Amino acid sequence: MDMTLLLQVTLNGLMLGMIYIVVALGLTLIFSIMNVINFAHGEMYMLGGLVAYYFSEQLQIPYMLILVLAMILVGVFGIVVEKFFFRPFRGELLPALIVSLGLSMTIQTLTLLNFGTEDQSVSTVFPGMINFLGALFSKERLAIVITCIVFILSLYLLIQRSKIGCAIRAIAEDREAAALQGVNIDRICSFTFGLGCALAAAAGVLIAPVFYVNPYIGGLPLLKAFIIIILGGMGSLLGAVVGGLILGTVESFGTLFLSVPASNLLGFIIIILVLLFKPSGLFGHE
Amino acid sequence: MNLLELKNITKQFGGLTAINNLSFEINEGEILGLIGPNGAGKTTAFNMISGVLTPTKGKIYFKGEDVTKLKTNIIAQRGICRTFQLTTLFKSYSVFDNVLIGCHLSAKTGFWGNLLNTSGVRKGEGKTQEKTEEILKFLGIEEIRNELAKNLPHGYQRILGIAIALAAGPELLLLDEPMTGMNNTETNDMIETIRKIRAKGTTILLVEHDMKAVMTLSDRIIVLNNGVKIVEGLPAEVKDNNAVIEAYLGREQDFT
Amino acid sequence: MNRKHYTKNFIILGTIAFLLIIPLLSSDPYHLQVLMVLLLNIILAISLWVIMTVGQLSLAHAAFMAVGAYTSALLVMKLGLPFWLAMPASGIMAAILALVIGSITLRLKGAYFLLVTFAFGEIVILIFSNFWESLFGGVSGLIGVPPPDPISIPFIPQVRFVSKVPLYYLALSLTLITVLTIYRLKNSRLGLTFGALKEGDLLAECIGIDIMKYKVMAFTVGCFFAGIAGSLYAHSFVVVTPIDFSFYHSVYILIYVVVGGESSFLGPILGASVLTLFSEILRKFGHYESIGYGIALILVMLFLPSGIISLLERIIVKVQELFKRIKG
Ligand SMILES: Nc1ncnc2c1ncn2[C@@H]1O[C@H](COP(=O)(O)OP(=O)(O)OP(=O)(O)O)[C@@H](O)[C@H]1O
Ligand SMILES: [Mg+2]
Repeated sequence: MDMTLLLQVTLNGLMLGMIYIVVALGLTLIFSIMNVINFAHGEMYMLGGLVAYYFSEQLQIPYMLILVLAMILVGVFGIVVEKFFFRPFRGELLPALIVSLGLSMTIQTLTLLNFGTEDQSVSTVFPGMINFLGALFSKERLAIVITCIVFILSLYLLIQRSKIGCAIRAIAEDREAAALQGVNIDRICSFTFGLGCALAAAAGVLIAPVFYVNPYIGGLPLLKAFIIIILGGMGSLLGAVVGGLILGTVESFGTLFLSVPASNLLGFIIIILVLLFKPSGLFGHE
Repeated sequence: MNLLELKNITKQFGGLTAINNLSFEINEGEILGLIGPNGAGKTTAFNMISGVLTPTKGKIYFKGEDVTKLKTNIIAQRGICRTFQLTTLFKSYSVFDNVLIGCHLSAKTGFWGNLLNTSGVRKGEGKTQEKTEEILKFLGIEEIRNELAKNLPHGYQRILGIAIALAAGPELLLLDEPMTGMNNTETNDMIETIRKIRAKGTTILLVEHDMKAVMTLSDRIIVLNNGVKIVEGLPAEVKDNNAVIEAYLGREQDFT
Repeated sequence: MNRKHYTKNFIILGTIAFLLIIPLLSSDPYHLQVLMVLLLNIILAISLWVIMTVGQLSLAHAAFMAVGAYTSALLVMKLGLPFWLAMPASGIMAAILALVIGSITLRLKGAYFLLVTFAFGEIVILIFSNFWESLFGGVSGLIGVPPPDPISIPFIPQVRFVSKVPLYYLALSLTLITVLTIYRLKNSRLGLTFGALKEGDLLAECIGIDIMKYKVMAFTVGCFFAGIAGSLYAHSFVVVTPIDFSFYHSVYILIYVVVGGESSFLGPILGASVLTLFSEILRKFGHYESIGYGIALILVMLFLPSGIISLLERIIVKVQELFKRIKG
């Protein structure tokens, strides 16, 4: 096996894994404190990509700024959505699920009507390759991996160290006990939902120059994020990271050695195997 | 002969030892009181006897047979039923249906029979309905039969919890704090009810914080503290025992 | 109380009679086509509802339908079995699969089970579209699934499934059988036991109910009918492609149940009917269909959380009060 190819496949897998992890982190965070499986989460990713396209191609704003802008815009959008559509069902799985599906359809089609269905590409931010251990890597992809790692670490610090993170953990642990201790549940849910959406948008912005943008791109990362959080354990942030790394690796090597469908199947088979032995996922608690 | 026997039971949750080397026996037909301060491990003991939890160490024998590792529903089938400290009911069903569901073990539950509504199934269902009626009458709740469980006042919910357990036809009934949240009259009624249940031949293991109730009802009492049995004896002996008073010291308990 | 039953029975019988004479009122194949889709959706919704009565949410229902559709089509096309054997076989195939999968996964609850069934559904579709292409036909699926074989009953002209009308009556009969079977089950002791599991499975276990047994039973029954629906679908619409059974289809079935009202038996039936017709009407408006559908979902959940059946019940009560006032 060619070493260079292996390294490149690894980096590719890592990049996709990282993007999926960032999407999955938001999803699992929202689930852990609100018991909402948010099917509109992929739309937030899509909106991120859209913002990236619009700002970079039409307005030529620097990409770093775009990333921040997209996170703020989509984050605020998420907060509004949470207030009007999810707050009434707090804690109820089924109605919130249906509402999120309705939202997903509506957002997707509204986008489609304004944007068209065509693929739009976003120009590269870091052109060129970098030579590492004799293998060539695209700078773009390395930058994506690094940015994602920064996001993941920041989120970790936020959750573990900050006051708001402490409140989030308290709610995830036991909502009623947290309320009794004076945690403002509504505020924290609102913040967390916004944060989750902002993360999805960030992933959308980051990957936009590598792929392309259209109203349907949210479906795939949502699917992958679901797989990741089942694998890692629902509501577990560490689980999402580990699950994403496993899935990214399995899929990129599966694609290399087997085929795309076979590698997809492999991902699902791993899930089923994990669940057989640990029904709550790798890091979930019962 | 003893009906139930716990032999050197230990239960650990992670690092916490909730029950430590606990052994006791319940004789057929008696009411055994199990008391102890909050967190002593009474509910944990219930959970292990009813198969909801498996002990870390030790064995549980029911009618001489080892039931330590059996599943909850099998243990119910063998004849041990329980109520819950936090009222647990089939909330959106009527009182009647709650008890009817409780009759599961004596009902005909075959798939094809039920689908085709065979005469055997209809007869069986007639019998369970009669049994349900009997239980409602026995506990004096036949008037509220059509109320939804979730709409009942607390006292009635506690009684309904017992009704469901009785419907399963247990030989040993475990009652976890049946009098919580009850006023004086309700407590006295509950004492009568428990006496009546025993009079029908059901053995009872009673956990209760209301000392007066436990002292009047129990034939024998076991006192747990921090997962350890500190005293076992007749109500009168337990009442005056120093270790017991010590365990409860600083708690508002009525020993008179 | 009695009057309510009376009104209900009247509405039900009226609806069945109406469905029976529809082919006499309109021979437009489009109308019959829409109605057949509607009937299929009723079978799917009510059978998913059975699974939901034990408190489990499945996103694999369309996948079990796919298993039925492929089983039936392949048995007829490759082995030359008559449709009348292939159809029950497809239900049984889906049921056996459900038995196996259910025994493993029904320990999981709520969101966990939901996501596992989602994963399972994806596996099924992935296999049908990418593996054993010579058998399953890959992404383009199976084409030219023959219609059901003609039935000959003495003294009656032979029934041949060449036009939409006999196919429609076949769909209607299967729907009625499904609905009646599930209605029986719901009103039996088993229905009571199923509901008990949803309400509190710890309590259920403590009174001697083997919760896994009944959860697996409900899951198997539900998936059996999904398999039958798959068979009906394959032989009515000639083509079977994996994409027809995607996870989105499962989501739609779930939506029928919830929007209709999951707490009542009529809810899923109503939901499937109203939403099928609704999306058929919206179809004329192109992309606005999804927006309309999406917004409708949100509105129903926000303002009618127990589904549109609750609205209907309220209307019936109002109408009865009105009648009383007129009389009195
Ligand atoms: N599932 C569990 N996981 C971890 N710890 C537990 C669990 N159940 C009980 N405990 C712990 O075991 C100890 C005994 O609890 P248990 O509920 O048996 O007490 P109890 O005697 O019933 O108290 P109370 O009178 O308040 O009902 C407590 O410290 C409790 O926190
Ligand atoms: Mg207790």
